[in-house]
Amino acid sequence: MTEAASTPSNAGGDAEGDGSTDVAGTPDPTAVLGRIPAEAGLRRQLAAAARSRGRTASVAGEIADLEAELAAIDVDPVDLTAARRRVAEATGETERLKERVAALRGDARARRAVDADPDETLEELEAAAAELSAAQTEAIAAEQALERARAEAARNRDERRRRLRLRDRLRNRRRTARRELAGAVYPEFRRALAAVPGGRPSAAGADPSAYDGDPVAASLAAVRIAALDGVVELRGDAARAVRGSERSTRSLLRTAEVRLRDACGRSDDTSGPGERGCGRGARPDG
Amino acid sequence: MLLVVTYSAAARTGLRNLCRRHESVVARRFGRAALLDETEYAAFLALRLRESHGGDVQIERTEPFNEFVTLDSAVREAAAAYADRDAKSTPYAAFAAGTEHPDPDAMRGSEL
Repeated sequence: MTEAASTPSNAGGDAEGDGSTDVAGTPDPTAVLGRIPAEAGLRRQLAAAARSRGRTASVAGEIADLEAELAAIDVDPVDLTAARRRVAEATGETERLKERVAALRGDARARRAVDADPDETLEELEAAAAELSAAQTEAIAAEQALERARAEAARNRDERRRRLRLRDRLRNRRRTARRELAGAVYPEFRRALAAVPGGRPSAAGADPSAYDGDPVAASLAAVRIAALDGVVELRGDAARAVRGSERSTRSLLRTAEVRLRDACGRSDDTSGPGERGCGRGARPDG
Repeated sequence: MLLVVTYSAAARTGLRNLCRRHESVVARRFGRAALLDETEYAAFLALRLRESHGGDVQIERTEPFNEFVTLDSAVREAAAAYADRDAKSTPYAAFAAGTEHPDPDAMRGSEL
């Protein structure tokens, strides 16, 4: 069946975007490369590596401007539900009273036709007519209120549309930045592939989209060319690849803090030399 | 028909998914908007989208346009005459001035 929701639904009720959620910000390099195998694609990893080394893209200024412009946009929630419901109720009430007035009129006429006393019916008719008039006034007021709310919503939506365009442009520029940054470090990345386990410089191709080698080797090479502040955690294949290597983790990855977590279920802090092998120098996962 | 317009990337993706999954209710698709059939089911789908994305989803109901019902002949004739004008650079206001064709401001002031 096709009933399952397919979009990431905005959990938490109020779905009004707040300007920060729609376009992910530039991640910290350690968030991208801090855990191998990495979740991000190669281009993102290389862009993070380039950023960690202080490189900036030519579009960085434009990105900052877009971010500032977006931060200044403040949209109010749009909810015309109450105004629409009021119109529906007022209209319904008017219709109901119109029918009642028509029925009472018929009654009064029928009573006169048979010479019955129509007074009581006429009183009811008068009351219903007064009610109808009040209901019609309310219906007009409700329509006008909805009209005003719609005009307000239209202005609000102009702003939302502007925000959407800016976000689209921002996403675009961020992509450009990643492409540029990844491209700038690509030759270095290719050389780094020769140094990491499983890496083949010949698999690199001309750019990240052409890379057809081992993804773990690519991530290790990306870490090697990066200048990361935080800990890099290697798991599974990545941990095994590094353990199986003749060289020390530090000389492979050129990163101060590396932690290996693999099938042993242990976590080794391998900041120092002589760290290889399951169960040696291990400490509980912290 | 129902016109559904979206105002955020997430709502736009939601609408795209809706259109892909429920092709039969979609009359027309535009970038971040779509026209849906006038059925309860289409309305239900549109409301679901609005429940998920709030003010980033606008739902309107459209009516078929019949110029013979909605408009005076003067407006129809003016449109035809202006499209058929000799000097392509003449703006409509100048074209209509001094003729029986309706004045643009007068038309702006008249609701359908």
